[in-house]
Amino acid sequence: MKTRNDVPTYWRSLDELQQSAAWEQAVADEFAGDLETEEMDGTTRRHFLGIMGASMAMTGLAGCVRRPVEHIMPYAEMPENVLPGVPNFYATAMNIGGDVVGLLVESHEGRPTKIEGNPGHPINLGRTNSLHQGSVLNLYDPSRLKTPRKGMAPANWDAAADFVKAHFAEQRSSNGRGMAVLSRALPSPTYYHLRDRFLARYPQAKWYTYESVSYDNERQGLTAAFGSPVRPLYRLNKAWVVVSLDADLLCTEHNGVSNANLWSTLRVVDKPDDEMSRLYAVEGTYSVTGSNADHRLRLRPSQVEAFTFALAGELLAQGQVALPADIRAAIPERSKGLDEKAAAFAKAVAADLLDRRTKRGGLRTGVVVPGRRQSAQVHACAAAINAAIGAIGATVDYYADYSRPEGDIGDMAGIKALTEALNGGQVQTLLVLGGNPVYEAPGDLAFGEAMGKAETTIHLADYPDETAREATWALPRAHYLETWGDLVALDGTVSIQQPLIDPLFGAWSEVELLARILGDEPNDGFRLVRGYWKRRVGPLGFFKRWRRWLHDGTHRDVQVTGTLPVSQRRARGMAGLAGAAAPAAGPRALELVFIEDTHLYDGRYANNAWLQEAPDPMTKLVWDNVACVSPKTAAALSLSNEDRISIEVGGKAIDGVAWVQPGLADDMAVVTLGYGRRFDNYLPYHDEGTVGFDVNPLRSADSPNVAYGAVIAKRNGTYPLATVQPYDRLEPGFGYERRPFVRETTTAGYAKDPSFAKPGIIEHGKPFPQGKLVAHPPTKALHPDPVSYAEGHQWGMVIDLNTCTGCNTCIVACVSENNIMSVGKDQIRRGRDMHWIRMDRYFTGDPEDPQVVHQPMVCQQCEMAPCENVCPVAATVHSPEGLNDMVYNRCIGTRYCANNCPFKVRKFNFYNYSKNQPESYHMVRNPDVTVRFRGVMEKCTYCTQRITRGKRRANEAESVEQKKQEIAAITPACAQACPTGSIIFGDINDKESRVAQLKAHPRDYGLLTELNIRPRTSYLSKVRNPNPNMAG
Amino acid sequence: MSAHTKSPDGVFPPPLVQGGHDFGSVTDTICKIVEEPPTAGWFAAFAVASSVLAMLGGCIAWLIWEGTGIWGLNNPVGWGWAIVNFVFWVGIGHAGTLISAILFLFRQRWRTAINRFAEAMTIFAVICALVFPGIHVGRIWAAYWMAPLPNQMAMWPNFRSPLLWDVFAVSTYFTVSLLFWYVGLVPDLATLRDRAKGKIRYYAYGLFALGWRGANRHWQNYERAYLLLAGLATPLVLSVHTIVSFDFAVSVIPGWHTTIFPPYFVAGAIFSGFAMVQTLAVPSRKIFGLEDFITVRHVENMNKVILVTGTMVGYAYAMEFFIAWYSAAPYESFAFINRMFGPFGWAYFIMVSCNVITPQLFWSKRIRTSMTWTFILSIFVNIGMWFERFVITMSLHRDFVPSSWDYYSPTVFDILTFVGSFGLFFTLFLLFLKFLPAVAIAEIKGVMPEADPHWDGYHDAHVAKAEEASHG
Repeated sequence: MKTRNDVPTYWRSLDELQQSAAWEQAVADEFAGDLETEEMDGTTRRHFLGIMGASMAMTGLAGCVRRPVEHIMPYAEMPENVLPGVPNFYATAMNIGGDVVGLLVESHEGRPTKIEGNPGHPINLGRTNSLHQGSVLNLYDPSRLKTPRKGMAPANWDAAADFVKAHFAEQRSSNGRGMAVLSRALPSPTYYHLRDRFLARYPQAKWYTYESVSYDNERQGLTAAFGSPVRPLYRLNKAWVVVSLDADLLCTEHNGVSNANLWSTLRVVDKPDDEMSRLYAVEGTYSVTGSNADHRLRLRPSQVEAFTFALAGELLAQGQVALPADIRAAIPERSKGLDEKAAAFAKAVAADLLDRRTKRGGLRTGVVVPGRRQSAQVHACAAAINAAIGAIGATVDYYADYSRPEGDIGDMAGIKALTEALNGGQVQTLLVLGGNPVYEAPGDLAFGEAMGKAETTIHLADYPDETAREATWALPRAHYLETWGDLVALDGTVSIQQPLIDPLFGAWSEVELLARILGDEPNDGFRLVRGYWKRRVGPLGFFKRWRRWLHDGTHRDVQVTGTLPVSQRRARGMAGLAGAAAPAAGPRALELVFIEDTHLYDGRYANNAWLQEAPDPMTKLVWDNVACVSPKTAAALSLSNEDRISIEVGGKAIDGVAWVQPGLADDMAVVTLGYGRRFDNYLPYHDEGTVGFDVNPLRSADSPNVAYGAVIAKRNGTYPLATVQPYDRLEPGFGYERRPFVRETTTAGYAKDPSFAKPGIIEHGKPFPQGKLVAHPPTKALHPDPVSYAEGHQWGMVIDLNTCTGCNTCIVACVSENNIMSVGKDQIRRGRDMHWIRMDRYFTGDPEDPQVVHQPMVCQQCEMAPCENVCPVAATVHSPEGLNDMVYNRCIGTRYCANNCPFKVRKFNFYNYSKNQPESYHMVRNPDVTVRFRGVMEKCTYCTQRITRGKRRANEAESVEQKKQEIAAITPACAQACPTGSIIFGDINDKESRVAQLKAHPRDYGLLTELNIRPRTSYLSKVRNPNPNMAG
Repeated sequence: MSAHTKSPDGVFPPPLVQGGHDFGSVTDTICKIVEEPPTAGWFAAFAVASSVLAMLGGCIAWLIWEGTGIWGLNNPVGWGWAIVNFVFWVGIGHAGTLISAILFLFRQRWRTAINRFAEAMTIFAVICALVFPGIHVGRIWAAYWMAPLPNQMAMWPNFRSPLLWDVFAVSTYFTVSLLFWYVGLVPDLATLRDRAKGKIRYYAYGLFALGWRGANRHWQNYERAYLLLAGLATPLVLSVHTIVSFDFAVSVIPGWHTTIFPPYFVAGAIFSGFAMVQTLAVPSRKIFGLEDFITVRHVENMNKVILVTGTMVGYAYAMEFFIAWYSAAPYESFAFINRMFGPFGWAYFIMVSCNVITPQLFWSKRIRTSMTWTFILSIFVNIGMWFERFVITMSLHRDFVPSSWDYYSPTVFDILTFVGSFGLFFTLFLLFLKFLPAVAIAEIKGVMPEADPHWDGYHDAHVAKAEEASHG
């Protein structure tokens, strides 16, 4: 007891004063003295109470930790339309760089988990690509910017809102002088409306649009050709001859989903005399489109222009087509420098384009598709060719370009003007609406430095990324599944972008931020979008309309852009386009081509593990980008795979990695954009360093797609790369080409022998490679089938190799649907990818100029599955419906099944991949699919959860007809997502089903049937359609 | 037989026990190893072996904690060193029972000097082998599901799986081998009990000696039991590795799916087992002074077995290639060309040089009877046989679909686990040498001349005794 100086000490007794031990004991003993005790079956009352108290304390031990107050709510009022366990689907739309598709998003108890295409959307018709499929993961990305940041310090939302309000109110007096806005391409009427109001309020402000994957050339060329900016929509379902001029029209280019989908309709051959469309590809890179071409001409990008004009010249010479005068005049000059092979190719293509006209009894059956990297002149010339061969209105429609606001000066001109203004000190306030210009801008502009010269930079950012780190204010941008919006597709269809969830961490969309800047109330996305359309469409019956619109995702009556009027469908030439011819290239001065990554696009999906781990369709690399060179160029530079290199363009050099890619044009190198992103907190699977290398520093605003005179020098050492198909580095060179997994022929061969694909073993007695393929002798089982496969539903799958483009959309869709874990680069290098679909890619022919086949390899669901009988614990067994079921709970992980799988499609959880996943990713998991744990095997189930859902719906059906429809509607995720509809699934016992009919098709064949495994997945053989007048 | 000791012209084989031992000196020599305090050499060896064993424990603990991902396994190659080691150790475990059971039934009396030794090696090798299938599964805590235990799910193991047959085959083999070994040990344990100086020793050996008194009745029961167990063990010698080979042969994978596997595996197992016996016996006989019991003749006999089985293995290698060519099956042909010239070709050539070429040196009597040569060549055979299993398992790396092909490289944990299994083996073996008689005392007396009722020595002794009596 401490005495205090100012207060006298009071005490009760001497003991207290002296604080004796006895006194302390007496004080501590609350119930001093012997109290009476009560006998209670040998236990005293006090003892009983003591035990009780102790027990309660024990049970309450867990409660000893102070926990935050959490309120739980009874499910007393059920939200409308939400049935626990039954997913809902909502129509929405997605924009990637101005390319808009309609989506249906699956939502489980309020969590969006899976993206599907909206079948009602006229552009993508229910199809998607891998970016759409993977985009849902970005929503749950733990690395997202979660709170506003001032400098790099977190700020609260009120402070951010106050700052925005105050800052822009200040600018009113100056009419916005010194303000600039950098936007991404966002074709949204509400956004454009707010933009117009913004510019009206701040008339001095400048508005720029920048997309790193730029369609400037297309816009300029077509503006020259048609007088106003337009975008092409190819009707490939009517095009019998398609000529790709360095265009990856089936995969990475805008509208690739639609292109692939429509193209595939003319690649389906049922009867031997069915005609097929023919695809020519002229390209230097090896794109997915090139890999599907019937004829492919290797040509450096700079030479494609010459080819285009040569083609125009041939058309003129062979068919006297009408071409604009200036193009006609430019042909001799611009078609110079083509080698003999290319000239012959142009001649044959021209003949084919013209030949079709007579053969099919009409014009308008061919189309020429120039790629976005090609010059404006190529686009203008291609437009002239399309006009001349009658393609416009038949195989291609040009729609007024809605992806840019009116008066937009283009990506490169825009970013250049902005940088100049910044450097000139004319910009005090820079507003970056989405995008990441510090990373994405061409390196010659040094945008990052320029941006630092603005006083205030406000960045609406997805991540604490390169730009956000430099900005004064970084504000979290809402994911498209979190916010309301409206998006206009290429053909003018307007979709309402419905959110499926509130912003997870709080975020603003572009329109919400603009509304705040303008001081609008209300400023939430829903009221902004709905209010805009109510004003635009009119209040009469708007409520009903709106609901219908949200439900369908599109609205028939609302169309904001249209095709060119017939009077304008004549190309005018290429007046006003400047541009010099490209310098000649050689092994010491390469053409360096910058292509968008198939899965990361311009880098905006760099933090998406699903997309990082989806292999590149051609190199099969994951988690890295490389500089691809042809074998010949590699030999000249003495490069081999994984060599560290430096790439130098105009004095600027970056470090990279070499990869030898068969089929590239010589004297060029291909690098992909989107890698080398520098995040604070990088990908969940990469804690340190960056993934790949950033090639943007080598780009220039004047020539962002191709750099001329690049020098590649070998550096010391190698850099380890991860590829999911490593055999091409190890193949000793014997014997595998005779493995008849992909069976292909030409149209002529198919007409001669429609069932050419049936024989699948090499003739007996003649070891490879002399033996020809023959049918195997009939197989016989040792024991009868455990169940009759003639009864009930029997599931089967057919994959049409003729239309499969190898784009990998199915892989990402499967990952999303089936909770497949990403494993990271190191595990892939160890050969432990978890994908249930392996997209096999084989080269055939000359290594310098090979052809490519793609084959999706999924579990073949063998009726006599080799995996089943070897499992010691019966963890993989056959279902009565013919599925090879995997019982995760029972699996002990001997891996014997995977060893005995002839297709090696079983994947093993070597580590606890699902446990190591970031926690926020748990929300993207499909609750209908078990999350696999360490030590168990997994594989394709034909999406058994979807089959079960379909069967449940069929059981609830009211009529037999409806029941049949429900069964027919069962679609695995891969088949649903496939842009070309190459995967067909269904009940093979139902003879009317498409899958059963295709199983009876002469092109149908099973793999390794000689092993008597009786696979349920079969393939439709590939038929190429070469031009009979062309050699090779 | 009794006369062979007297044969001056080498018509009869040399005696099985040399050095002029009588029953008493045999017992003394063999028991001395057990009874004397361990030497510094033993302690040093034991320290090394048990440290390596501790490392194995660490590797297994880390494996259980982290997952099979710590090994070099990947998608096409689902089985790696663990299975290689399993087959390797099971193979080594063959010699013991072969020597004890089959040679016993064939009345090969020379076996008595080495059978205890070889049987111990068998048991320990099978223990090492059993470690691997147990730990290589993904979910070790559920590995007992492979046993047919009644459970509330009414879920039985899959009796069609060779892996299950394997579980039964190896565990049966282990049980019978252990019983066989133990039964053979009973008289010797009684000897040790009777010679024991301390109480603990006395009771410990006494407990396991099962009250053996050497009565006529005991001997009768013992001989009967031993014969029965030998009869039981004999088919197991052939069945175990046959069934182990089914793990591969019953699959559909080219390079695995081969009907020659059962005999080829059994021959290989005997081959490797005898090599391992040599590896252990040649130094031990020197160190523990057992040269009189494990004579050059024993070593030579075993070398002959190695020569025969090695040649059989070589024949099997050749036949695999012939059939691959003769069948004209493209995947099969490729698998074998790839085996020789593919990425794992180096392993194939190690295997062929060690298993086919080195045993042929045993045609030379000089090499066959040289202890140094025997030891060196036995090491080669051990290496070769490990690589044989490696080469076979690696058929996985390139099977049907080329896009799935990959390479396999072990991680440091693969290597340490394999090295650690030697720690387990040698720890057990050193303990065996220290606590149990390394040579079957009772049995070896049975092949000594004194065991023959018509042995001349009895006469001499009798005469001497009578003379002594008359003089005395």
